[in-house]
Amino acid sequence: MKISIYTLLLIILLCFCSCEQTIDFDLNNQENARLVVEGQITDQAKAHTVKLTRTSSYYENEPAPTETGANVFLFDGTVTHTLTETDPGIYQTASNFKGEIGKTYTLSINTVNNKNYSATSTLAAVSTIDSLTVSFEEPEKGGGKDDESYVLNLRHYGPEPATLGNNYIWLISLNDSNLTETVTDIPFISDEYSNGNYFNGYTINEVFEEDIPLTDSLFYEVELHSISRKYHDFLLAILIETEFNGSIFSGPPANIPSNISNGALGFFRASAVYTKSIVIENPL
Amino acid sequence: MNKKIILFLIYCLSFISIYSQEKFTISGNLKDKADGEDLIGAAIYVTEIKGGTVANVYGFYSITLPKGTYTVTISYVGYSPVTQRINLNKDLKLNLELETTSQALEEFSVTAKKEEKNVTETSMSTNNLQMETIKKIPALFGEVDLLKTIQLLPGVQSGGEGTTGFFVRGGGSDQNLILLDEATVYSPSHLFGFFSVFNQDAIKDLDLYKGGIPARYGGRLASLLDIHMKEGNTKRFSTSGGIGLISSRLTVEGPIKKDKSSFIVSARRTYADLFLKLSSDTNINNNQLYFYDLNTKVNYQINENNRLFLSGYFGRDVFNFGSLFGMNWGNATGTLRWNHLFTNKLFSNFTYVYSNFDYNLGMNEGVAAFDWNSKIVDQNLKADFTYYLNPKNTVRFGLGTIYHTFKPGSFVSTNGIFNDFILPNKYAYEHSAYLSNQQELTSRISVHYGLRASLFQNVGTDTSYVFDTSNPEQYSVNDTITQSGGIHNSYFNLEPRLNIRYLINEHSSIKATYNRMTQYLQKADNTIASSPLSIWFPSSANVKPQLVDQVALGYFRNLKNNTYETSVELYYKKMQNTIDFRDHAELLLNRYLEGELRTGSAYSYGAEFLLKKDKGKFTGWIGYTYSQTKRTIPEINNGKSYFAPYDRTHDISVVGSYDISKKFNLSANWVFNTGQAITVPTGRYEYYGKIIPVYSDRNSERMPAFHRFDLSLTLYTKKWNEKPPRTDGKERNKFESNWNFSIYNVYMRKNASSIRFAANEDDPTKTEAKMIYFFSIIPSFSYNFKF
Repeated sequence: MKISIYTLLLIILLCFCSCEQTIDFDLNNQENARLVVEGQITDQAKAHTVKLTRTSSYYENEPAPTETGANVFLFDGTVTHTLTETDPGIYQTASNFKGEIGKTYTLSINTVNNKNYSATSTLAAVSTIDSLTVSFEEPEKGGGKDDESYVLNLRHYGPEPATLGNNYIWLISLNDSNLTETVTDIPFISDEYSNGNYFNGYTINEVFEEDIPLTDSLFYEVELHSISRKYHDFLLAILIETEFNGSIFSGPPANIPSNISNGALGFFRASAVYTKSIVIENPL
Repeated sequence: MNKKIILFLIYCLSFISIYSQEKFTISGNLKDKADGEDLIGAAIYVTEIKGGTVANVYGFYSITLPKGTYTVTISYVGYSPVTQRINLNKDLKLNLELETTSQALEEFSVTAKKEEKNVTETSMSTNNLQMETIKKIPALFGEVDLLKTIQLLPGVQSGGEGTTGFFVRGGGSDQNLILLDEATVYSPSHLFGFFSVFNQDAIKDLDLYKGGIPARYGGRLASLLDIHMKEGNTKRFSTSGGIGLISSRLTVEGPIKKDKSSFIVSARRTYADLFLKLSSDTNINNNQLYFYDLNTKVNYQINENNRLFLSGYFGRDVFNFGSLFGMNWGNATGTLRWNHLFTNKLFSNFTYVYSNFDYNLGMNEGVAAFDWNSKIVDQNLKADFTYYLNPKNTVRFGLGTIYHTFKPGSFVSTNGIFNDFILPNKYAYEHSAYLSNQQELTSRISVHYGLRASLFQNVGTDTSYVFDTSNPEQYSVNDTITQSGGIHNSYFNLEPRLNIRYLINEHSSIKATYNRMTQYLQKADNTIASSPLSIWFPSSANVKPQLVDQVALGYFRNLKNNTYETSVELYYKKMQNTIDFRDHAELLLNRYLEGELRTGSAYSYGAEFLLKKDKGKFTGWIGYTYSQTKRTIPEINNGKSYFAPYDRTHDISVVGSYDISKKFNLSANWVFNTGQAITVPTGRYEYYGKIIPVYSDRNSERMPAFHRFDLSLTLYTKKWNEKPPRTDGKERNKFESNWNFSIYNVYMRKNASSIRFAANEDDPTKTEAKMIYFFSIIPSFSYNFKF
């Protein structure tokens, strides 16, 4: 919500004759390569992945170095599961692993240089989706888009329990292409704003006309994930630092929080998932 | 503590001794002969006592002398001095009207009366600027801007390109007390800080105090910007105005009853949006984007001893993007003042001020529709007294109280899925009392000492929170406390103020000052731009008032018969309870805002050099400031001290104005300052398809240096009073006008307003530094007239 207001402020300002230019800016010291964790488990039975990489210097412009040879474990309070490295830096659970609602999971990592890292996350219950709708809509007036262009709007209808602490993200795919491929594409909402309100056609995705696949049918698949407030704050921080940073309305740059111990970066989350899909035949 | 006050009072009053000699008082009002405007700060010099007094902001002066014959000279910069022989054998009223100096007289007046005020006055760290000076300075889009002009003074830093936010001696932009006819202006800028809210036609002059702030003012740490509106012409009706590239102005003023009462109404509006209407594209012609200002003032001289003033200011910015999204914000202030002379030695002024700043924005369509409001309202009652005891002592005392109402924010979802979110109002009283005396101890030493007592009280219904501060990154709420009314928290502070001047000789002096200031309300704002969406919040049980102690030392010297003024000032400031915000703080619509604050201390020191020329065809100044401002806040930057974002090591301003002839004036200014302190990444990592920066220490690097050169040329038509009288004996047409052409950023320097580090849009694996800048070269013009 707040984000969209900043965006609008920015648009107003940018209209007002600002220019952007790439410059050379020397950055002195190189960061000691720190461990970065990208891990999630859900209550779906499948091989869940924990990806381990390292930080690099800012202008490196190479894919992040992977962390291989680490020992990675997942403890669910009674049983310890071992993750195996399937590709460099990719560690996976057994293919039948399934998280349970209410359990607290602890991820432990022991790297080859014998440093230990850990993170915990509690798997919270998720709400349900009553229905999804897809509609072609005119873009909102004044948004600067062409009059002719239409937007394919995906809307969510569903309950939201009146208890606090329910935060969500949506992972969305359209005809098997992932619409939430990068972290900043993932819609998220905190309970503070939505608590107890029915999601009555809440827009979770917009596809502009030129990006709509030219197929006979459109198949949307939506996963609603429960997340912790901490993960919500993590996503918000990423959005602030990567999409909105450097504007004169943003606060001072700051590091993204993490739930991994011992100075590592990234996040480990446990989520419950509710899946719903919708098919539109002959959309155009 | 009370004992100290009593001792101080006794000391202050101890000089009131009984003289055997008979004494009489000369008092009166000093005005401009042409339009009846009060001459603020005009000097009254009595040759026989080698001293005198100055007129106050209402043009009133009073001086008490033993019976005798005196030579009294009244002088004011830009006006012909008036000298009178006075045989003082009874109390005397002497109201005088001074005439502006014409070119021919000016050369004469240089030798007639020396203007060494900056050397002889007790105060230091102050600057007075006349609107006439400000008007000559080249301005962005030709919009004469008072706030951008004060940024050219040493010790005053700008927030960056185009911004009117200013930072005085290491203080934040919310630490400036901006008064327009005694009313607090909370948001002094339009259009995100590109223009200031002060309309050139309605303003007479301004005083900026960077230190040694008199005891009668308080409530902000860093500075006092005291802006005086014109009273309105008491002699005749007059219309003035201007047409500029982005705005037009119109002012009407005149007597209601000649020499007794007058009015002024001054308006300004931008009209960029009127051009938008010409577009056939509905996406464009539905948009509104403008701001306006309206200044009004009425004054009425009831009789010799009573005078009333009513002034108002209303200004607003309006943005509407079709029917979809709209926002607007603005200030409204009203001031009612009553000057009363109890005796010809005791001048008093009673003031009631209403001040309101609010903003609202809304989305009108769709499920995400909402309406969002926030405001702060002040009501201020005060009484100020000046007792002109004798030529050596001027005593000021007074009382005041401000009732603050804060409405931090209400967010109402009109038909959407968002919950209504209404932050409860907060209420507070800010009481103050002060006593000060300006005293000539010897012919060389003069002192101005005073004490201000301030009492802040959180009152009324309130909901506050107790925070668990064990995790410094994010506080959690431990407990909620609701108050049903009454006083539930208070702070009391004593703020001593002291100025000392030692006159070395006629042309040079040394001055020193100490002041303590307290600030009980602050702006939740961690950006450098003047975002209108800022929230003012009061001190409370969780937020201690901010304090500053400032000492300054200065050397003042005038050269070549006061043609050149030079000064060097050194200052050191220690600030307590300095506020900053945690990383990724949520400042808007956050009921736990106080939990986002982190407090610590800060210091600032600096050296300010000024060389100024006020007389002759060529006028202007060169200012240089060396300064450093650092904050230390335990929970921020791992407790290491860091530069304030507005810290500028070097700051140079060169301002020049040359009257080529009576018809042409050429003005230029050049500014240079060290780049803003910024935080830069030292590394990067990937998470879920995104490259994320890792930052090092806060504000440890600098943006490229900022510098810019501006030029302006003004063409005047002949002044009516300089033309020969008409042969038919009729009065000349009083129409006069000028054209102003200006070029902003002549050598097209691309000054970074911010630098962001981000992934390349085409190749997201590539990270780079990008600079955002606003203005390249901007030529503009305006046409101004008066009749």
